[in-house]
Amino acid sequence: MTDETLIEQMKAGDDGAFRSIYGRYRDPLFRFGYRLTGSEETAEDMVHDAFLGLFRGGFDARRAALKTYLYGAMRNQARKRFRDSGREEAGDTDYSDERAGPLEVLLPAETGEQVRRAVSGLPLAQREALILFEYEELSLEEIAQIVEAEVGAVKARLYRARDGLRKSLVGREVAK
Amino acid sequence: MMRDDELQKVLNKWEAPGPSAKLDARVWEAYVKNRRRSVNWKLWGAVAAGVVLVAGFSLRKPTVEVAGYIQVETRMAATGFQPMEDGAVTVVRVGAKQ
Repeated sequence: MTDETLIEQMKAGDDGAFRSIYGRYRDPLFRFGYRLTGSEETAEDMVHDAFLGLFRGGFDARRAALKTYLYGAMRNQARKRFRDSGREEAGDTDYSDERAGPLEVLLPAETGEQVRRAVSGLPLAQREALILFEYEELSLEEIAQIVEAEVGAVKARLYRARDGLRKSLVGREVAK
Repeated sequence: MMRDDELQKVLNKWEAPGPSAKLDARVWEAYVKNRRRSVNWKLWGAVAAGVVLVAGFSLRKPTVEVAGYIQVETRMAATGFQPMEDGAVTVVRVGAKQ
């Protein structure tokens, strides 16, 4: 069943339709939020608020697809949180350490930690593009809609992000 | 743009955890609360609309339908008019001779 059909059913009061939408997007949105902010707690708050916006009528099917709307809501919340903490473009390598709650899962391998640090060290615009493209496997067009930029700009950010990652991981075991 | 398999293999070494069950409960609670609110709004909206309609009907002024429009002109014949000489006011009983 398509997202559009589920949205119509949800608006008509079908709880099952809402559960389907939530089940479809909960994990990808959480992963995106977690990788963007480095905090499980923050990612959960962002997912909660994204769905709150959805069923409060913030979504307009004429303007965007549900998928890009939800990822866009997550991205805007992350940016707002970065702005509020004064670390928007800081390449916040230790942001996650500050925000991590007691429930933070310890990474099983050191290489995972190295990758996390390298990704977290990218400027926010590059990090968004990289996570959406490489981890969430969204198309360039979808990413362009989410980050409100041209496809060419997204490509450039991805190129720089990949380049930056190679440089930061070079010489380490993880890059081999 | 091609996906970089080699890079992706490295990136996948950073695994993201899953959300907690607490999140499900929070979102569901917010959903139910919002739905209840929206049902209440619809109910109160219907009641308010009914009240407005009833009030509108009861306060409506009766209107008189005029079938046709007739132009009226007032005329007064002044033939034989004589002004009073002294301008005195005379009170006479109805039907009495002056």
